[in-house]
Amino acid sequence: MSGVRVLVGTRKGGFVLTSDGKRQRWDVSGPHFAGWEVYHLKGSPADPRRLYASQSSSWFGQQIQRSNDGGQTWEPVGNKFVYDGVPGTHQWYDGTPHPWEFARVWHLEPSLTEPDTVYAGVEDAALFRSADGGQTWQELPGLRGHGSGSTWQPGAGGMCLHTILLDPANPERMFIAISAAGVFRTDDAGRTWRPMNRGLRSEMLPNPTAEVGHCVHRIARHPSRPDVLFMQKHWDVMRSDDGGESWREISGNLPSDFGFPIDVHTHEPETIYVVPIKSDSEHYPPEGKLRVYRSRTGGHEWEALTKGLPQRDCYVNVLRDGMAVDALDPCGVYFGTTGGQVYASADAGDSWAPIVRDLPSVVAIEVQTLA
Amino acid sequence: MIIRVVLPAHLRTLARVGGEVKLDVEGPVTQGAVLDALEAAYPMLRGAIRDHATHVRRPFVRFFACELDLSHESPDTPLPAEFRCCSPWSSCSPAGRSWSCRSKR
Repeated sequence: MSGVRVLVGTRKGGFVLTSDGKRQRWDVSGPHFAGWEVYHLKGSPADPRRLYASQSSSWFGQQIQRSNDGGQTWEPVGNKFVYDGVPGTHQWYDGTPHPWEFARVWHLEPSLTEPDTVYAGVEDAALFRSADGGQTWQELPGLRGHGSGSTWQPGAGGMCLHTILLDPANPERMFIAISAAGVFRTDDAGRTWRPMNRGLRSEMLPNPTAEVGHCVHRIARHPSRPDVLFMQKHWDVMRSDDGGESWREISGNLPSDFGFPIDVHTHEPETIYVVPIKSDSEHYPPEGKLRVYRSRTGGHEWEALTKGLPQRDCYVNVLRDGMAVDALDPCGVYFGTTGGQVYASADAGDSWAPIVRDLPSVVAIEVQTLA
Repeated sequence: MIIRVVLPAHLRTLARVGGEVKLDVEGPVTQGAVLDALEAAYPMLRGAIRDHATHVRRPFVRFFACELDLSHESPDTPLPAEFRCCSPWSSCSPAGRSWSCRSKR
């Protein structure tokens, strides 16, 4: 029988939540790496038993953990992330040059075909790759070296490379997103990169339509439509229909177009989900109501999904890696909050129920659909 | 010489050890030699206490031995005589003579 495995990264450890295909009853295991921040966990699409986890600490630095049995046991692998060549400088918060310094791995993206190949998006922003199951890591230096790196600047959470989208139809193409630099695309497996930010407008920049500098929070895409991209920017929900060459706003009737995560329904490429947040200074839902918004029209027209979610006195946030979908039918949607709740919907968002209510603050959610 | 090392909780979790660990340190007992032996016995601690390449101590990590703060000592300086003479470890008193690596919180 089919099932799902939800991988949860929190400020104080990782958790693995499992259920059968009904998604009604859940087993919770963890905390794994107790006491450490777990920024992200993700499974290999080529081998669902192979998981990778980013474990970090301001005191003790970065660790990468690997599991070969679906998260029951873990082993530390390589944690040596060294920038290629002389790292140079990027812009600091005050606009002065600041040396590139490795802080942590924000996102791990396993290859679609090779369990031992995995990409890591790191702070300060750069892209690393391992081809030996995480034992050793090499930077893909063409990204930082493409020319604009000295103008990139940190968002409030640090200058992080947080999104990596691999293309199932074209192994040479990849999108990444950096806060706050924007979206970049490679068409030669990471050797060279181009900024993909035309159409974005960010009032916090000296030039609001600059080629780079935009605080992109998350991008998502349906695998069947590799050229259609959806973006939650700092402010504005955006869409591209030409592989990132241009973007247009689709915020429509959202109560706020600020937010962090965005995701796409597994079986409906024009159905997308966001969690509106009141503002960049007030990181909680408008009116104290936790609402997921769904558009079935690829944007512009949004409906609030509230059944089972707190509709008063709720002041949690949902971070950029905090939402995921499964591949069952109906599509399951999951998100975790800074208040430690993990909510699941087994009916594409129509109704919600908490899997767990009292975890440490949730940083990341990923879902594996198991045969 | 057998050296007892007390790790902070996060590093005990990482190394999957409880309480203190015992290390056989060959040659002069310096901070660097203890860390070399520690990382050889527990490779997952590489990079967590000091930089992989430069071996510079991570900013929030401190080193204590014999009730002394040795965090800013050269890694090549021999550890205090009182510390060095308490070999084997079993002859040491329980407190104050083991070498500890702690995070400041």
